[in-house]
Amino acid sequence: MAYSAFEQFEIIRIIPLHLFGNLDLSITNSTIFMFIALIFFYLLYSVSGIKSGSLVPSRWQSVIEIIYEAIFGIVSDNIGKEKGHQKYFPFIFTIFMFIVLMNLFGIIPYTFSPTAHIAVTFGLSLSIFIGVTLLGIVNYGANYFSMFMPAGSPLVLAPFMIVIELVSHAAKAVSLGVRLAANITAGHILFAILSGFT
Amino acid sequence: MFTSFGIMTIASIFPMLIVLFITVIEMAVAVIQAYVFALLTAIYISESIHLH
Repeated sequence: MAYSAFEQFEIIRIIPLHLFGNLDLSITNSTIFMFIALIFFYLLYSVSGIKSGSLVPSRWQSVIEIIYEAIFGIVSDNIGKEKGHQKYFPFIFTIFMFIVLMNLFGIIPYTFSPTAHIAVTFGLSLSIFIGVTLLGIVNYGANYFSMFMPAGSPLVLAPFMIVIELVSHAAKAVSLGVRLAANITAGHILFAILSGFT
Repeated sequence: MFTSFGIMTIASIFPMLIVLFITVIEMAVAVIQAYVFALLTAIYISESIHLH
C-alpha cells in the first residue's frame, strides 16, 4: 500500500459499540486520547491542586500556577475582575487545559490528536456559540438582538446591516472550530511529509 | 539505506534535523492555538454579558 500522509488521522474502532441500530458509541482511538488528556489533567491537579499544594511550589505545581495565572489574566482583562464575572473562569480554564493536552499528546509519534478532526473542534465551538447566545438572551431578553443593529448607523441601511451582523455572528462558531482543526491538521501533515524524506 | 554507508546516509541527517525543528514549532502552535481558543471564548462570553 502506498504511503499516505492522511493515514494518521484514521479513526479506528477499538471497542465497537452499536446501540439501537444507528447510534454508534464505539470506543475509538480519539476517545482514548481524550480520556488520556482528562486523566493527565486530573493527575496534575491531584499532585498540585488546591488541596494538595504547598506554599513553596514543586515543579508540577509551578506549571499549574503559570497556566492558572495566564488564564486568570484572560478572564480578568476580557470579562471583568468582579466576583460575578469570575464565575466563567473554571469553564475557560478547563477548555484551555483540555485542548492544550490533546494537542500536545498528539505530537508524540504514533499517537493520535483528536483536535485534528473538525467533528471534535466544531462540536466544542458550536456548544460555546449556543451557550453564549443563550447567555445573552437570558441576560438581556429581546434587547440582546439590538447587537445586530450597531448604534449610530443610518436606518436606511438597517436590512443590510442586520444581514451582515448575523453572518458575522454565525461565522464565529465556524471560525473558532475550523481554525483549531486546520492548524493541528496542517502540522501533522507537515510531519508526515517531512518524515518521508528521512 | 542503512545497509551501505554512503552520501545519502549523511544527507539524511538534514531532514531529521528539520523534523526536530518542526516538532518544536508544532509544540508552540499547540499551546498558542489552545490559548487563542480560550481567549476567543472569553471574548464571546464578554460580548454577551456586556451589551454595547
